[in-house]
Amino acid sequence: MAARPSARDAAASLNNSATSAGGDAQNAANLKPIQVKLVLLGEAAVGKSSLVLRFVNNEFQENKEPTIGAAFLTQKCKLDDKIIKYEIWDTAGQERFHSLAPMYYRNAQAAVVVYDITKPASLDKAKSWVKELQRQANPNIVIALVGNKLDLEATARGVPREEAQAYATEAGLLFSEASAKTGDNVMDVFTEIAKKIPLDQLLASRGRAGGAASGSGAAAGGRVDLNAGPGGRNAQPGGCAC
Amino acid sequence: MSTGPFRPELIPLPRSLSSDGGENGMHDEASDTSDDDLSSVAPSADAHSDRGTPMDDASSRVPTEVGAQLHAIPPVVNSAQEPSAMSLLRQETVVRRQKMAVDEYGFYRDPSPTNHSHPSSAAIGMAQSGKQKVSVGSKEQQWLDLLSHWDKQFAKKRSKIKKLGRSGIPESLRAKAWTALAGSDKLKEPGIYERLLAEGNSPLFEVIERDISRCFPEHSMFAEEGGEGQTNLRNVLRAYAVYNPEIGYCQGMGMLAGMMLMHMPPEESFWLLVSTLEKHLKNFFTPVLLQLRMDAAVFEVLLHKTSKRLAVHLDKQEVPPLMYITQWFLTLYTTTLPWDTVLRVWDMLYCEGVKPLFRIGLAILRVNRDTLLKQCPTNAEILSLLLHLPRDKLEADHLVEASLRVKIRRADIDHLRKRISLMEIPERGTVSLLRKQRSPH
Ligand SMILES: Nc1nc2c(ncn2[C@@H]2O[C@H](COP(=O)(O)OP(=O)(O)O)[C@@H](O)[C@H]2O)c(=O)[nH]1
Ligand SMILES: [Mg+2]
Repeated sequence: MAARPSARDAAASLNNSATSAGGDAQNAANLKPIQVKLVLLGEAAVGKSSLVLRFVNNEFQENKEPTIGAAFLTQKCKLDDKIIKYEIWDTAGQERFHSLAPMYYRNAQAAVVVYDITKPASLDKAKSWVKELQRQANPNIVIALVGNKLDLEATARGVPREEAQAYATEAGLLFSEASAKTGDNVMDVFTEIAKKIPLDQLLASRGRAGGAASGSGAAAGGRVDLNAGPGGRNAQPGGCAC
Repeated sequence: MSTGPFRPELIPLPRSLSSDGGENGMHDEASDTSDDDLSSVAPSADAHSDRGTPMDDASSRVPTEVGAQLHAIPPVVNSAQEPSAMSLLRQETVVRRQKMAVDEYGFYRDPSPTNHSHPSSAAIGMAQSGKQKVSVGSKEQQWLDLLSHWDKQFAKKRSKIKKLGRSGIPESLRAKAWTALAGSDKLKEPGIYERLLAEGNSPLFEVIERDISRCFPEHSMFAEEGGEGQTNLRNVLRAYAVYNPEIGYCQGMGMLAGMMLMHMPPEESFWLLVSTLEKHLKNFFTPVLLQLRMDAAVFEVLLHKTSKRLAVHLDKQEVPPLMYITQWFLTLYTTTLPWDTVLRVWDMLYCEGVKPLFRIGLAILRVNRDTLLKQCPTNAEILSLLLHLPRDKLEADHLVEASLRVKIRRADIDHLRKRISLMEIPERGTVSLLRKQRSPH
């Protein structure tokens, strides 16, 4: 399918990584990636899958198969001297798949709640997702509210930026408007999330748990610990599967 | 992040420039294991990218590789010279259609072997074993005999039908056989379909519309925007949404209707959809996906019974069946398996009922068992494998045979379904028969 390099922001970032590769490679490679579980939520067709595809493959597809249940993708990134591995659940947006959502956000350290800036109703849906996350998810979860389809701003904007921004501030969310189609601000979303997540704590707790995911035992321990945050860990007796 | 100039700090590490490179990386890392296992743990080089992206785990990647990867970055294109994504896509689609042949099932086939979405087993290069094969001619004759005295034969010859179904219904009789087996020809009432289309309306039409061009875009019948195939698909789904407002429309149903339309006219497809959703997938698509979530619990028990070690591993890594069977069951494997395997699964489903649905799922896990146990230490690897299955172990005869070795009985399924139906099922989240009720949190 058509891969379209994103607009200048992402291009600049890629450039940067290329030039810094020689110097940092050694350093970066010695680090085990820090796993960050991230879930995308939002009404159907607001562009969740497209945002992920832009982030992971730097491409945009006009006809994407609808997501059935949820898709799972990973993307490794470098932030300063750390390597982060995003493990991304891209959930289906149709209302009836809502019944599956807890399974995906239960252990997430980050959530991207997406609405479509041309569809005011999609912001209402986003707000209800935020509420559910704040009630049910890991108490330390980092939530970003993203208004997608920014490329349609000139002709079809339906949600004033200020309105969404004000809500996000009040609810304590990261906020940005982005376009999966042009790539504008997409990278930014994931950067801000990475910056807000207590990566050092994740690292430290994983260290205690016996290192990286090299065997099933260590892996399970590591992952449980990943949910530990400043406010204590996600209480999950026996670490039972969701 | 809303203010201030963008300062690129987060740098995505490309998995590699080409999928080949990624695979090689995996090969290098695990060169002490057998080829068989390697090919399945390596990210499926499935360039059909809407199936998602093969993941690049390799937490043990060596330094030089990261360095090499950082250089392997897609070329930067000046945004000023770019044509719009839309026009790029259009052009590409046109070019692709002109260049690409259509395979025996009507899918556009990319010349490169890794690049088509539904490779047949022939393309994968698996030879049929030939043992116990009924020749096509005599199979056709047997089906013709059955179909000509269907009402009498159907009840009496269950086990014969089952056996015949397992070896695959001849393509020429598939539509007839599915229709007869599902009883959709009996269900059909003249005029209803047209009336539903003429008079019906539903807020779900908009939801359906969003998915029309996204359903089998790689198939010659549905590829053309606004073409006859897409029109038929829209009509069948709309008619169903009006016919059964309780179910309405759920994503996944488009794949089912699409498959049916590949075999029979719209009206027949509609009635087959009606009977399939009533008989085989009853309550799967309800607003809380009730039966799907209950069957995930049934599946979990069956997995424990038939492959304990694997069940324990998946459980420990927090991969409940609902995470993978949702896609498998709701699309009846159409988005999961090579196409000729999909057809065989559908043959069995219509001949035997719901059991093959479970058996095939358990067989998929079984044929990937060693990979899952040895090379998928955490749920990231497990899920990447299960949601983007490597094609090589899914060849039709191979998988059907593997499924027949999964020893479960219809009575087991019925019994487990009964037990779970007596439990209180929450509106959301997973349910389990193996532990006390899991809460969403
Ligand atoms: N104009 C525009 N369209 C988009 C954008 N992102 C997604 N879309 C389109 O919106 C539709 C739904 O996108 P998808 O990613 O499948 O949404 P999801 O259901 O939330 O996963 C598709 O037709 C996309 O091509 C965007 O940034 N701009
Ligand atoms: Mg989606």
